[in-house]
Amino acid sequence: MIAVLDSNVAIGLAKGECLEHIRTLFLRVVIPPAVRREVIEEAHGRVGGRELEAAVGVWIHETAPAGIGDGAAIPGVSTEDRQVLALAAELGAVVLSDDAVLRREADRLGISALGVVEIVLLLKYQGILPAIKPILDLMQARTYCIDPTIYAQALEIASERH
Amino acid sequence: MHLNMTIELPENLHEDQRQAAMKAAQEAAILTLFRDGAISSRVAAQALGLTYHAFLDRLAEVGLPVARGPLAMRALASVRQHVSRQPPTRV
Repeated sequence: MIAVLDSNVAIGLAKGECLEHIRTLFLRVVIPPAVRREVIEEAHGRVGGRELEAAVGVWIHETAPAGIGDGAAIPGVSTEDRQVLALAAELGAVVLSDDAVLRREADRLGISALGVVEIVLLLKYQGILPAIKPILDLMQARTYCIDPTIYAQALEIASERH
Repeated sequence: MHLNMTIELPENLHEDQRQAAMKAAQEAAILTLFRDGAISSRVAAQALGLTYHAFLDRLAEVGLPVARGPLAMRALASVRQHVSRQPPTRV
């Protein structure tokens, strides 16, 4: 399975020190050029920039979509959002994004989308992470804010204490 | 994206006070649209003139979550099924 990595999840997973783990889940991980720019070139020393830079060309591949379609029909969505969606559609990939609007559009297009919370659950299911709570707490301590309801729900699913 | 709004402010404000109020109102409007799922995080960041990293930091400062519900349990189950069938990838 191929995954298209969006900027927010790249930054969130890097803050949780588990970006590298997603290479064990997917046969191929790709980013559109916009994600490289947003996460690496505009990092200015923030967490995520260096981690993604180290991965691009090694196990994350930068690919531009062939086209992004007519974005005028999608209110509240940027050209860069359309790049992420178009790439996922072209590759038959899952989108890794926490953006609610992008996830809604992905769902409308029949594209699966996972955010950081679902990804860490998946990493636990696969035996790659022993627990999700330390990871989610680390993300939040490093200013990647997670809704308390889904945080609690995820801990319950993972049979971990709040 | 262009958002135009008019707000009424008390008279006799200093210019810096007026500017601060306008900036706060603009940010509140954009963050509300983001919170309500009307615009994506990228559109919000661009409208505020922030980089994506800076926008995520700002969300944390105001207590707005990036990752929010509901959990995509159906997508998770589907991806889990795919991942389980794949040969293991070595790190």
